[in-house]
Amino acid sequence: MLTATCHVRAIVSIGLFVSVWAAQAQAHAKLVTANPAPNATVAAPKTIHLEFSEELAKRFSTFKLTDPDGKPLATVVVDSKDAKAMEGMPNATLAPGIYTVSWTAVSTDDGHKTTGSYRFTVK
Amino acid sequence: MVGWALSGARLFQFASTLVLFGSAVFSLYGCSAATPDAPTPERGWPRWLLPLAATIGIISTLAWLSAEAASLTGTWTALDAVVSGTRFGHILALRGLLLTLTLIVCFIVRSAKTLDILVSIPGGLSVASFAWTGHGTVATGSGLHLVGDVLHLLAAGIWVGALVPLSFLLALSSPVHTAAYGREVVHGLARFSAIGPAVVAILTLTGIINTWYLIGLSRWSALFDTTYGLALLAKIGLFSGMVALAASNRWRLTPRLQAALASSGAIGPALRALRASLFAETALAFLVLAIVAVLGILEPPVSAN
Repeated sequence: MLTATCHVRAIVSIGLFVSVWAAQAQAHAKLVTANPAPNATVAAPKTIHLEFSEELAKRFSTFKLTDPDGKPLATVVVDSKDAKAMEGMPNATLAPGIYTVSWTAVSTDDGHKTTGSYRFTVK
Repeated sequence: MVGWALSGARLFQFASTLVLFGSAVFSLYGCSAATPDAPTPERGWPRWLLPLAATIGIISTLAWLSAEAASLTGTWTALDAVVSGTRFGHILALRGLLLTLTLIVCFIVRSAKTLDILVSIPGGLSVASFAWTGHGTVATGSGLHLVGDVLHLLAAGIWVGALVPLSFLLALSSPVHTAAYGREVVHGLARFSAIGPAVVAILTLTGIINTWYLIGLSRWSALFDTTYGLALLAKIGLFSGMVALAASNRWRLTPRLQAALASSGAIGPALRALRASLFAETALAFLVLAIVAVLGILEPPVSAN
């Protein structure tokens, strides 16, 4: 009876220990929100902010901004404090037109790479 | 190419760490220390199994890191970037370190029992660490899922880790088929059978928990119309086959060998039947691991849009 109680206690403690470690989630990173939002029409944005479902491996996670002619635009990457987000500033004010954001996100927990793209319009 | 390399590295890593942990544990509970004329001097199965498993584990860790580097940077040699740049890489490096320590221990420690104890601890940690490099807590961050994953992995290790040494034992050719050898086989099978139902229960229960988290009740149809779901069904099918074979070993084939031993009759036919059944069970176990290796790079339905 005593040993049975000990076993239960041991299992519960191991369970608690593991649960505390389980704070992080693991999966394929998905774009959750973006600013400018997909398909939105906005005034020329100063920053592009992308937020994902998972914590990112920042070194391998990037995005590209291309102008209405499909030419890539230089962006300065800003180190977002949010572990799940990436952020960048276009080097110049964006002229009116349709822009494309193409992102590559790598989840730090399982090393999975996901990619995606969306458009927004500058009025 | 990268996808196949990732799956291959995962398969070898699963197989080697499960065997490392499970075989060390099996040797602690499943081998009779006092079998005077056991088929080989070292308790019936080759001691090089442990260092071999550790070595394959180390090589597959490097291969996994390399494939991951190719996937993330386009260069197969950028292992350091993966190790320093992702939490996944930290865990993999830690596992590689544990396996290296285990390999060193294999060459230093002389006593079989001490070695089994010393190997089973880092072996168990290596096995459990898969919960942090897979779909451990997809989208939920749930502790229950992670506990379920760790238990699932350890139970799988106990099963696979018993099958491999038992297969080795039964693979020995007929000149050693003495009564003492027969008793060693019966002893190992009986000990394994004693914990078998618990292993099957844990695998089933934690398997249900994992499926719940990775597919979800509302998406149950994903079992039938996604690659992930179909692969999972195939895994469950093979697992059921393993359970059926294990049951037949326990209630039919082992008693047959015991009866032959008790009546001092020929044990050859009973041993051959057991061998065929155990080989089949081991083959199914490795097929299950192959499916798991592929499942890990497929996207689980729960994180699909």
